[in-house]
Amino acid sequence: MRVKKMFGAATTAVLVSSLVMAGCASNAETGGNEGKAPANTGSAAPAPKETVTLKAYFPGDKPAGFDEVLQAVNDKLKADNVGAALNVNFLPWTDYGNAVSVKMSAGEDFDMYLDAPWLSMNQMIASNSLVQLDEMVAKRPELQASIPEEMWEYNKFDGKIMGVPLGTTQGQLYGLLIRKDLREKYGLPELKTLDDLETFLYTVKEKEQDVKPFVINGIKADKLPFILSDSANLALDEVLEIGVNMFAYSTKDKKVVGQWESPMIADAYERVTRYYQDGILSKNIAQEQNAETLFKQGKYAATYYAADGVEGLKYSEMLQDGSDKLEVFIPNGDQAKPYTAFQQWNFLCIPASSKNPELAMDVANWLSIKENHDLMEYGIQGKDWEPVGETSYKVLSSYTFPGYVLTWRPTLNRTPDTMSADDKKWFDFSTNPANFTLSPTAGFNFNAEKVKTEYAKITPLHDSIFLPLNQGLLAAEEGKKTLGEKMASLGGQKVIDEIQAQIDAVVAGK
Amino acid sequence: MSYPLSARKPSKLKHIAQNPFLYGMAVPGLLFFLVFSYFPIYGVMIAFKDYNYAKGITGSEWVGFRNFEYFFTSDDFWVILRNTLTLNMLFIVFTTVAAVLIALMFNEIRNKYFKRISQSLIFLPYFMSWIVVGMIVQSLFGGEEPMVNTWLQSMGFEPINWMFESKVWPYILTVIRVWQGAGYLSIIFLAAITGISEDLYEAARIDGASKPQIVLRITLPLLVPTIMIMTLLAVGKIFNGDFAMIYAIIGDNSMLYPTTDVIDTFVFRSMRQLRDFGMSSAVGLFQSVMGLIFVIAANWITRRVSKESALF
Repeated sequence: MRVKKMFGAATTAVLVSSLVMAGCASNAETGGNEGKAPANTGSAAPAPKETVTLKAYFPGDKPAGFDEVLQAVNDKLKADNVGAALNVNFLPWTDYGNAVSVKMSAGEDFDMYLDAPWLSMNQMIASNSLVQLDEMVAKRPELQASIPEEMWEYNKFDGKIMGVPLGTTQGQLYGLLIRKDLREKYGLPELKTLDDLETFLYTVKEKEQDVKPFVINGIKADKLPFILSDSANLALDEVLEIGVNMFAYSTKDKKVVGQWESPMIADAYERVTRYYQDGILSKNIAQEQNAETLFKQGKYAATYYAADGVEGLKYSEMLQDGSDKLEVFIPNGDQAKPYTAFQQWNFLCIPASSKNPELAMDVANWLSIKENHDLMEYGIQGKDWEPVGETSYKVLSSYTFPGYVLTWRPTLNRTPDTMSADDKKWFDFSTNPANFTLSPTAGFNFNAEKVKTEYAKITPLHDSIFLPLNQGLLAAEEGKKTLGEKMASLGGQKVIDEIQAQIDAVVAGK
Repeated sequence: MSYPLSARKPSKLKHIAQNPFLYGMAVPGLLFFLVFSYFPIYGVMIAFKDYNYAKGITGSEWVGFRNFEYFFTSDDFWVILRNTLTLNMLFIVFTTVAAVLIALMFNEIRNKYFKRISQSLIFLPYFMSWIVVGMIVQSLFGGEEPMVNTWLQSMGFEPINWMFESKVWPYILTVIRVWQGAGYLSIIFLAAITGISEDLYEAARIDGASKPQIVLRITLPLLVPTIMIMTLLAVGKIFNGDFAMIYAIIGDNSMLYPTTDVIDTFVFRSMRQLRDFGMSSAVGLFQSVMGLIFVIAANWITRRVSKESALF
């Protein structure tokens, strides 16, 4: 009896709470989050399609003012008779990967989400959890045209489009951001070569009391050998990055090698070692996580720069006083034509469990029209932003949409008007595929499935030896030797052989 | 409890029927462990499978012990195992000793308000996020001019490059751990002390026992069962490195790995690229099984020394 009673009470409680939740949901609908706005008053011409709400999962925090923008997007989707409305859910970064995997394996019905090889994309593809998009892309001209040919071509998985590649730049251009005012203070000419840079850094070290030469986050130091080499940014790299940590490909003898072994960037390892010992690189580099803040506070004369449209903007507040105290130094800038695999890091994917893949792609296509793209990415015109020419805009509100989850299109991109002239120059440079050299390994994506055990064993070497070597903490000679030995003893050769086999297959297929 | 000789000791079921509310109070706890600890044991099989999202847990292929291979054949296996055990032992021993001392001292404080305020203050670090603690530690020991070095220099000592001295970190971590956890544990011990019958103290005082004698002969011995239980519970997790703590404080500083890299941080780094469910579950299973063995062993030892203090 008692049990029955309790059971009854429990059921009631569940029922009540589900009713309450349903109430919330319908409130949200009328609140407009899902944009099921009543009858369309505008265009009457073609029979208005029934609106299907598409569910999307993206990482990060919901941008400030997102609800209004989403409402505007959904209204416009309705007005343009796309037949879809968006229900966008942001999941915190910390849970995103797991949450999406779980939703996927639980077979939850949703229509689009951000995935990437660094998240779970390869596993998802292996398990047939994603919709192949080739045909659907071919049928959507705006989407196809908004993304350069090379980007489509070299972001396929096993020759298939498994996600819409999201990106702005076509390759990585490395350099440093330096304090122009300090350079001028000591009467140094504009930096053209690594020697100029060295003079600048050592001058600061010698003459400045409160400003130290160079700060970079410990984790970013793996880029130093590519910045501080005489071969930087030139496509004469005998060794090029292949997207697998610590390994590189020698175009000369077509072999996969440890990046640290490359003779081409050996000069950079020498420099890093010397800079660390001479105190040009911070003694705190292994632990450094606040490079950005420290540089902004004016405590350093140089920091890391990448022409990706993000890195440079971090420092725009330093220019708010109207000064032009920052400049970008790109080693070998005038002849730069770096290798690129045209590889992108983020993809809009459609899960196989989605009931509306065609419609989801219609929305992706719709977002490839400049007006719609701008609405989603920059917000409501006049309220959130204002156009400045065709490729720039003025920020009016705090609305910042993470474009890399949905809207990034190299051809439609606008840069904020706070971007410094130098930064814009190199960023625009980077969005044009013609400024890059096609990497011979383009199209290669490492799949570690066959050498999982060995790969798991060598991965920790990245943090324990490879990074300290790149930071200058381990002197070049000694560090390279230790790393080579450890790598060999942990079965690194098996991983190298597997990468080699996969690259050979890609190269042979061309 | 004793029963008249004529009446038989009532059976368990009867006892439950006679005290439904008493047992009813255990239901939420039992349900919690059933749902969150016992049912998930089913997932242990992931450790022996090549887990694939689409195929699900039951559908994925069995691969025997392949998932265990990487961890046990890793270069640093013995180093991280040693680190995990040493750090956890340091934590357990020093936190317990500090907590007992704090509890004994609190027990002697007579001013109610002072007692309450200091209890709250000492309890406070327990609620602090490890990320915040990590930042504090950073500002004390990190940067180009660590704050601690400024103090050392002002007292005429040589500055130390903390971020390179892996030897000192087990001690620093222990101090941090004691600061963070001892307050919490001391409250539990204090509760146990409060439960000791006042009669015993009164009798002792009448017999002319001194304060230290009372503490050593009455309070401490009667506190031992609680100390043992708390220690046994901690021993069960001795193979689990405190990831949140270690990673927030040490982060990616490879110079400190030789003494601070524990199983959990090591696995995190190994799996950064692969994200393999099977391999990480294999390590988790290893930790749990070892934890179980240690608890049983520790309990066995406890039983031999003093039966009442044992957990089971």
